[in-house]
Amino acid sequence: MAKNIVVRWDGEESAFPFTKVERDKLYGSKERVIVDEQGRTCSSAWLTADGSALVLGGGTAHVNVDDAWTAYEQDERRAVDLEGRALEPQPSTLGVAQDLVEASVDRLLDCTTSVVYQLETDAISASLLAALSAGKIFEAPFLYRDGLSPDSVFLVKNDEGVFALVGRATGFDFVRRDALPEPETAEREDELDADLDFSMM
Amino acid sequence: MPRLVTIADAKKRDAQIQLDSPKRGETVRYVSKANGAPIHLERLIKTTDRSSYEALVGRLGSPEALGKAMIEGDPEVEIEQVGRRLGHATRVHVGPGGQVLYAARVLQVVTAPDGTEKSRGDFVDVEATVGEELPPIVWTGRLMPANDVVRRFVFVRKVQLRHVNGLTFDFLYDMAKSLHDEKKMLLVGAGAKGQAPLIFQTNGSPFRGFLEGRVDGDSYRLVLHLSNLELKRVAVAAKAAVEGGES
Repeated sequence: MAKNIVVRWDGEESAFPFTKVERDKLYGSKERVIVDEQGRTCSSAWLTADGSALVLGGGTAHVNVDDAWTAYEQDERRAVDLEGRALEPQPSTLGVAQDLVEASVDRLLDCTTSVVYQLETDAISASLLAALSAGKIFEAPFLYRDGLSPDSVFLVKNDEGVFALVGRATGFDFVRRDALPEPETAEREDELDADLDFSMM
Repeated sequence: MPRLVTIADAKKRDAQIQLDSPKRGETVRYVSKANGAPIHLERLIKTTDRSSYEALVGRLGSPEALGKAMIEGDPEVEIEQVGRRLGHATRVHVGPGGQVLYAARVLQVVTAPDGTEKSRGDFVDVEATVGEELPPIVWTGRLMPANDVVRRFVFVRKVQLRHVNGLTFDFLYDMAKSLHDEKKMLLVGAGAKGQAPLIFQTNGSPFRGFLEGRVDGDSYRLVLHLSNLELKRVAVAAKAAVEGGES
């Protein structure tokens, strides 16, 4: 049984079954397909640098190893930050009531949305529905599965229904006249550079 | 190299400015719980075209024969290849028979939301509409309240517009201030009238863009919000309604 997004507002809990909103479900999709001279669909593969092996789809595996090539299972490793301090994993927020706080439009605009869910509102509390209908936006922490740092989920309502927008803050600052142009760093890579139209791939 | 683009203001003056992407989140590394050794992910070869299921069945004659061979030995393990690092391999296409293609045709298949194929034709590259050497992003004059915009569009990418010298500081500050004073977002686009989508590289995603500006004393914050998705409900299959799904 799938878990719901559960939130608490004004002392009342609301539980939402949810469905992911994606471009291909709304608009359809464009896919790039490779065919041979007879028009038969082909697949992609990897040819090793020395030409000794042709690796078909599904022919590779990712393995956690150290510098001595000792392999580790997922539960035999722990996450640390750049200074080596341990980062504690946090449990998924699904199925666990999260306290909502009211958010401004600016706060929502400060975050980039990575996933959108449409919510089924059969079990929404009357006070939350009234607040959303009045144009309020709400925010809560969100982790789909256990992870290191939660995203934010924003609840908004429009004529189509109630949606949950999962996002993360951009960290954009105000800039002054004397601010120097920021160089590209590992912390700030040009994300548009890798922004190929994946519906075409 | 920072990404430079050209943008026009309400007076149709244009200037080249810098686009910055959001900062990444906290950098995470993994270490061994037992000894603290740094751990990294390696992509290793599991099987090749010679040890795939189809290749083994073809060589041994039947699935039953393959099953018997696997009980008696390890025909699926190609000892010279299994466990090798994939490394800098070359992407190739293989035909239905497993042979490498030396000439391939690239098609574009368009599918409707219900999964039915709508069209199939030769793939044509879609060129970028925004860039250093391309015409400016156009100030369309179409202002929309942010309150409405966030309920109609999903912003899946955001970039910050930054000045590159004193002149462009004034240029961008004035843009941000006018939007801040209006308390609205501006629809921007490519092409002569700003009606074409923003595409930042060849075959890149097409986006609708909305400029949002804020000022604080003598500093500004001008953000281009990019959307390729409207906030609309999708058709829900009976079972999928409660299954959700992750990105």
